[in-house]
Parts: sequence; C-alpha cells; structure tokens
Amino acid sequence: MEERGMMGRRDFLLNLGVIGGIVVAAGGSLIHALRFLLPGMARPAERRIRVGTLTSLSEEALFRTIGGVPFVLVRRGETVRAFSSTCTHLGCQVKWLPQEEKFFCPCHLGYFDANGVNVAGPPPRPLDEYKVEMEGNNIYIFLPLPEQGGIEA
Amino acid sequence: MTANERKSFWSERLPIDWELLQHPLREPVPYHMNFWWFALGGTPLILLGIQVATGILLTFYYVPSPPEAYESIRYIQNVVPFGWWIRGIHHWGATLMILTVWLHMLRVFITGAYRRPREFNWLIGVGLLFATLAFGFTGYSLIYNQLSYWATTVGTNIFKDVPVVGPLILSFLRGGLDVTANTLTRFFSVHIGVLPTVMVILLAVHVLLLRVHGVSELDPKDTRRIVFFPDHVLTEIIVGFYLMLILTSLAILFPPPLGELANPASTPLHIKPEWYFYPVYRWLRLVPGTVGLVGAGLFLLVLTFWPAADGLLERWFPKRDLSVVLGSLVAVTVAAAMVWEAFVV
Repeated sequence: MEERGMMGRRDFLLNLGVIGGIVVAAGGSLIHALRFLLPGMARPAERRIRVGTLTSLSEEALFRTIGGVPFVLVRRGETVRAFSSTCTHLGCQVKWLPQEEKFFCPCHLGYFDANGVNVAGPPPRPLDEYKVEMEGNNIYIFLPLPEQGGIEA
Repeated sequence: MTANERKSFWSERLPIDWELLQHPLREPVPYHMNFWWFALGGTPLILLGIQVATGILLTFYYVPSPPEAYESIRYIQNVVPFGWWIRGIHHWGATLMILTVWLHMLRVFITGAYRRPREFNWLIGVGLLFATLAFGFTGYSLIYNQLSYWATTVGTNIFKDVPVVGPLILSFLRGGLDVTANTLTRFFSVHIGVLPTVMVILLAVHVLLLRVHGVSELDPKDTRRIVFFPDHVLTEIIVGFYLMLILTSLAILFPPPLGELANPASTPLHIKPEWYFYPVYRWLRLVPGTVGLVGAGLFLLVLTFWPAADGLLERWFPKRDLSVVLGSLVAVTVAAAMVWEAFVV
C-alpha cells in the first residue's frame, strides 16, 4: 500500500522520464557546444622542410618563420641545430644576444644559452628543439606544420 | 480626449502601480552618500554606461579580423569624424573604471562594509572586479597591435600550467593551439557579448542586495538621512558630468596610442601590459610559471573569500583589527609593484 507523502511508482517513473530527458538533452547539447568551442588540440604532424644551405648560414643565430611556426637555426662549425624561438615560459619570441651568445626573452627576462638551455629567469625548461638532417650542403628540419587551409593569422 | 480619459486609457493598457514603483526611489539613505567618495560604487556604474554607449559606436567601424582590426582602429582614430573622441573616451573610460572599482573595493574593505550580513555582496563585487579586468584584457587585445598580440599570448599561456585542464582552457581561450584569427573573434565575442551579459546580471544582484540590506552605516550615531531620489541621484548625475569632462580632456591631451601592427614572429624589446596588470606582471617576472600561477591563484582566492578569512582572524585575535592592517599592507604592496613596474625597466 502507498504511504502518504511517498511517491508512487507511476509518478516516480514519470519524474525519472521527464528529469532524465531534460538532463540527457541538456548534457548532449552541452557536449556538442563544448566540442564547437574546443577545436583540435593535437599538435600537427612534423614535416621535413629544406630551410637553406650550410654555406649560406653564418655563425649567428638565424630566425625564420615557416607556415606560422617560428624557429631559429644555430650553426657551430659544421653542426646546425634548430630550436623553437618560442620562450618556454609564457610564449614570447626570444632574441639573440650576439655578445653574450645567449637567447633572451623580453617579456619576463628569461635567458637560454646557445644550446637552448634555460640559464636564468622564469623559463621552466630548455627551448624546444627540432630534428635537423643534413644532405650535402642542404639543411632540412622537421617542423610541426598545420594543414593547409583554415583560418590563420 | 479629456485628461481623465487619457489617464484611464494608459492605466488600462499599462496596469502598473506607479506609486509602488516609486517606493524604492524614495528610500532614505545615510547622509554620507551625499559625498561621492563614499558612494564610489556609483562611479564605475556610470562609467559602464559610458563604455556601453561608446563601445556600441566603435563596433560600427571595427573589424574583428587580423590585420584588418588594426586598420579599422586606425580608420576610427584618424578618419571617422570624432572617432578619436569616441575611442579616447572608451580607452580612458576603461582605465577609470578599473581604478574606481579598486577604490570602491578599498573603501568597502577599510570601512568593513563587507561584514555580516553583507558577505555575499562582497563575493558578487569580486565577480564584478574580475569581469571588469576581463573587459580590460579582452578590450586591449582587440587592437591587434604588438601589445595586444603579446599580451594575449602571455595572458592565455598563464592558464597552460593549471593542473589537468590547463591545455583545455588554453584551447578554449585561443580557439586552437596558437593565437590566431580565432582568438580575436573569440575575444571580440566575449568583450561585446558574454562579459556585458555577465556584468549586467552580477550588477543586478549587487544592487538588489545593496537595496535589501540598505547602505551600510559609517557612523551609527549619525541619524541624518537624504532621499535616494532626487538627492543621491543628483550627486551621481554631477559625478557623471565631471567624468565626461575628465574623459574628454584625457582623450584630447593623451589620445590612446595605436602602436605597431602585431608581428607574431617578433616580440618587441620593451613590452608591458596595461598598468592594471603591472602587479601580476612583476610577480611573473620574479618567479617560475607554476609558482606564479599558484601564488596569483591563492591571492585571488583569499580576496574572494575575504569575509570568511576575516571572520577567522577576528576569532583568533579578537582584540585587534588585523583586517585593516593586512588590507592596507596588500594595497600598499600592490601600489608599490605598480610604481616599480611603471618606472623600472
């Protein structure tokens, strides 16, 4: 027998259906809205790009941007290394200080040595390094380049 | 149609009890509300009205897409008749709004007006402070000059160190991994749509709570009263006129700079955010990323729930009014960090 104040089976199922339906519909819409607001977060695949020749590269650091990805080439003798020129602290672009042979980030005064190692200031880790391949005189690096098309600044 | 017929025509179609509606306007408020420095909450409200009006006008010409955004602002500033005036007022209005929100908060703090039973209104007020700062941040990011671009880069990157959901927040704020056209449209949408909505809702609750609690007394012995309308409203109208005078003077004497067009490949040598973020900026220069984030987060947490923290302090040290000492210390430290950042490279 049904007690006063307690919900009957019929009412319980009705409430469950109505509230459950609202929750599922709202949740489903919310998930889709979130997917709409959060575009792809995966780093694009690396692509092998020819960036110049060894003979044309001086011993100074050379800053370049390809496909919106900024990087810096550092030559020491016959060895070339490629670093991301984006500071690992909060994402500003580093500059090269030729006298001190260091990278310097103007935003929060972070310093990296010529090997990209963080040596002073707030940067938490070294500069990201990109793989370099030499073929004769040609320099190739592997850059995470976004797909062609889409909206980009 | 006679006067009586006209009256019944309108009362039939708009069956509103005007007497009842006028009741809140006639509320007596403490005498000290006659002085604008004790009624500083009204100043950012007037400034918000000015910001909404000038902001709507700016959207008639602004293009939220790089690099046209920069060009459209140059056009507003240099070509559109009185564009310099509208933009100047909007720029300086934002600055004054942030300044007066802080001053209002400081007044509430020092006079202890956040204490029982007004704790919730402090909380709403902190929400309004955050919304005001977010208005400032998204606003100057829209110019798409070097300061905008790098402030957006740094400002959004701060969130990447948040445990677990950091990358998600970063992607949500930027509309992708990097600062792109998606970021600009997002910031524009937040600046002119999301934040005004949030602010109006919070303001409605803030003012409602203020009215149901009544204005806090400064001196319980002072029983003098003025009427909200017209006495206090008149004070606010005078403040409004002075504000327009100040804003126009600032727009003429110190027109907001346009800066250089954003260059994602090169951060300028000397880059700083707007003055109201100087304390955070100085803090981030002093400490590593995670420590910076945790420290700033803790500060904001204590600020938000200050009425609760104050309650604990009162229980532990019942004979000392530590809140005023602590509050003054924090205010002086923040002001010192601002001055340090403004005058030291």
